[in-house]
Amino acid sequence: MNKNDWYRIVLVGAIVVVLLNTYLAAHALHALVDSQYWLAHTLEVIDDTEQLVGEVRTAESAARGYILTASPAFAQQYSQSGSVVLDDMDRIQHLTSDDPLPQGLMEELRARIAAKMAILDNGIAVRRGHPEGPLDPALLTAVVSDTPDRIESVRFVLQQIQDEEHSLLALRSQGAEVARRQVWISFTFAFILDFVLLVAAFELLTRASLDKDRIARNAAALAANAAQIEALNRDLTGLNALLEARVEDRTRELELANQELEAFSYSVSHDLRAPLRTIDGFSLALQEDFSEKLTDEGRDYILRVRSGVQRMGSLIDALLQLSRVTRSELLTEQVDLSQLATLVFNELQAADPQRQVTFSAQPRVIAAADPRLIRIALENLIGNAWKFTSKVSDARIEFGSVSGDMTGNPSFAGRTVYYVRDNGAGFDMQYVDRLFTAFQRLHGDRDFKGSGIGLATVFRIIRRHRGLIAATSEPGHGATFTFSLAA
Amino acid sequence: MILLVEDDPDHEALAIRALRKANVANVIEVAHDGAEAIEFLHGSGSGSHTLPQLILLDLKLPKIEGLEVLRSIRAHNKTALLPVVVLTSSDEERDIVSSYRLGVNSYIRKPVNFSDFAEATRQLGLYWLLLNQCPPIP
Repeated sequence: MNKNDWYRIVLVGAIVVVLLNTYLAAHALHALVDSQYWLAHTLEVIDDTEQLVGEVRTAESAARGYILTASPAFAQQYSQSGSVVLDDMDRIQHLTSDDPLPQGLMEELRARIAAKMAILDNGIAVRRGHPEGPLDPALLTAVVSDTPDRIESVRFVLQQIQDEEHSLLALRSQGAEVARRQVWISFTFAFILDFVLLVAAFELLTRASLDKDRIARNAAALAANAAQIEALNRDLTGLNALLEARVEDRTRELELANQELEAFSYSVSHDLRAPLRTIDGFSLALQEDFSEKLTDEGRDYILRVRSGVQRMGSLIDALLQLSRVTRSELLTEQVDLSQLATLVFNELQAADPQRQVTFSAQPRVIAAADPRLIRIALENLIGNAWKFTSKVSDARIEFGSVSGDMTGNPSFAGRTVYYVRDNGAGFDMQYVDRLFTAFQRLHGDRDFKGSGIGLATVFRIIRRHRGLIAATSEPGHGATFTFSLAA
Repeated sequence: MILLVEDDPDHEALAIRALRKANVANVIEVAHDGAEAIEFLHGSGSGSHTLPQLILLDLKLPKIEGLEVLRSIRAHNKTALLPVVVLTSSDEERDIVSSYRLGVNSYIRKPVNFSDFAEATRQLGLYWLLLNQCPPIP
């Protein structure tokens, strides 16, 4: 995810939070307005009940006035107050219809006011029957003495309603307080968030403009660099052309040198061998045709001449092989080294059936290699093992493959290595450096015949496969030749 | 008759000695370079003698190379079917391949050890002059 994606995610998140917060604030505000409404409502109910009590008292005093004076003005006031009382009661009932007032409280109020009004009505009716003359004290007493008790009962019910409304008022005030606090919290939170977002947006914008500045500066620097690079490029192209021309020259020289080398090897194989054959041929003719004219010493000399010629012949062959190994093209394929090693050993055994040698090859060791070259390498390595085990009684030769880490040789670390091990004469590790150089021999010809070129050839073959070769030994305890292949 | 194409007089002498030792009684003609060999086979004087039963051909020859001689032998109708055995010091792969491509009948590398060479020559004479049935000479 890149930087822009992150910005987008943060922006969307911020918008979601702001929307949520706005909703919460609106909700809290709504709750506040609601509770304010209910608060006003409750106060109105209380107000109305106070008014109702006042109106009932007014009606009562009007009734008393009429009873005492029989003045029609009191009668009129009484009837006015009576209708106001009814109106008030209707309004209170309407107002409290949504309130959770105890069941039947309103009915009781109605009944008690009705009873009160009935007594007052009765008093007024009695007085109307006797508009003149003195007032009957008994009647007056009946009306007046009844009054305090009745009015108290109305007051009692009204008090109950007011108590209910007061407790509702307390509850609603509390609700309003909570709503107010929520509104505050919501708005504070929204404000802080908006502020943070604003600062963040400002920061982003600043950074973006800084980036733009930097890009502009970089562009200028780049333009300056581009000119420099172009100049360098021109130089480099010139140098490249020079280098290419030089490489071509060298390649041509190398090709020439190779051709010369090839011509040289070719003529070596012909011309160096030709005189050898002549020497050997006439030595043989001498031996065959003039044997009886020679002394034993003379015949021995001829034998020595011929053996020298043999040695020279095999040296030339080995040298030719060494040069051929370097010249020939490397054609790699998957080679079963185990099979090849066994084949090489079997050929050695067939050429010298008298010898008893135990050979073991780890099966299916397969590697990418040039089959012809790797065969020459194995011929030399196994041939050496064969040669240097000729003087031990239980000769053993092994071929196999291990992880290079097991050899303890750091050059082989992490690679697969192949080994040829024998229990023959071995060599002194002091001379290990001379082992792979042509014409260097660690054993005299008296002990083991050899050209001194075999291991140099193996070394070149392994080198051509971009591998390494190493040898470890202890005189009298055999030798191990380990190599890697990377072709 | 055997035609031996060999520039080295020592080798010539040794080859003839080896053939004689192997009881090869045939006449042995010697050409000392490639040109001489071609002249012997296709030249103006070639009508006066019969063609050889076997040609022993060295590859490294003065004037005309052995491979060129072989090419010429195979190119001419009269000599195209003659048995030719390359007898050379070279065991270079390209020489062997080129020789067989040009239709050589056999390729023998002269061993340095003369006993081996004598044995090879003996077998060669026995095989090509006695055992092998040669095509009729036109």
